[in-house]
Amino acid sequence: MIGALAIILAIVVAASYFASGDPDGLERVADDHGFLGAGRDNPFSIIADYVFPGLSGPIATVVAGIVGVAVVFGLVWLLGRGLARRRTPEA
Amino acid sequence: MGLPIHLLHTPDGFLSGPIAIAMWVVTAGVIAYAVRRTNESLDERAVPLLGVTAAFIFAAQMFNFPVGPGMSGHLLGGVLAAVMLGPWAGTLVMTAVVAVQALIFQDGGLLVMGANIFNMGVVGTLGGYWLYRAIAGLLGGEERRRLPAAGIAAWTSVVAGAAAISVQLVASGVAPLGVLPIMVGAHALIGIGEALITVAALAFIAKTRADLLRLRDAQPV
Repeated sequence: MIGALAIILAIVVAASYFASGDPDGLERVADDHGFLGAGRDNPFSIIADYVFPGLSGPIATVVAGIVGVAVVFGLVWLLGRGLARRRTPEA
Repeated sequence: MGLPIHLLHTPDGFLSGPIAIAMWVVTAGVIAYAVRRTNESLDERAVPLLGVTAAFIFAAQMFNFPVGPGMSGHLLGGVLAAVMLGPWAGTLVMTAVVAVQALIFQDGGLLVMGANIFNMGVVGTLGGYWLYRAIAGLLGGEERRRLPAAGIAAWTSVVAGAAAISVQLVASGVAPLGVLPIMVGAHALIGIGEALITVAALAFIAKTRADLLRLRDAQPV
């Protein structure tokens, strides 16, 4: 578990420093075909664009990514706990 | 330097209201069914694996890799989630990732979230899982042929997801029909990255924690 979280943290750091800055497939096609401008921002944002508020540069994305990893992990853990069946007999 | 990270998912405005709502209705039905199936079968020992898989997919989706001149791609992770967790828990994990991306990171719209979950989660996890099982069966069983089956399913899931969003864009009157072959072609390249990452992750897990691969409820769906 600790090892897995360390790997995930390393991916966040690597993505923040080394990810390609080019648009992804959908964004590129939308730009080429003139409908990129149809996109609207969400009415609210908490950590817009993976840049943690108050920070700048790759470290803002590292912090944003760590927050995201923690929120996703926690949310799914709680969801799983809520849905899972006990299979191991109670002591 | 890849900053800022590009927004990865379909924003609001790309799909018409009726199409976005129709996709939400379909997706909500799938999620409700996935909750029931997960509640029936999820072993509590698998809960930490759910969290780790979701966190890995979230982090890996941030990592855009170069695909061609002026274009990048990133992992979707639907097949990886399905192979690790089964199709129903996998669908819920993908739903959670897409929801957090939209609600906290403004990555992906709210009205189109149903479509985003469908195209990346439902197509990738349900469709991807059935394809994975079918290919593994044809090749001689999941234990022995996990990696090639997962690789082919991962590639196909990205191309199928791209086809799905293209059809929704065209049906919305936002994009011309010509985007369909272009999106499919672009994602045929991006899908190679999806297949490589999915196979590498599963190979790593098979080598270090093979027991995790047997945690999934293995009954055919």
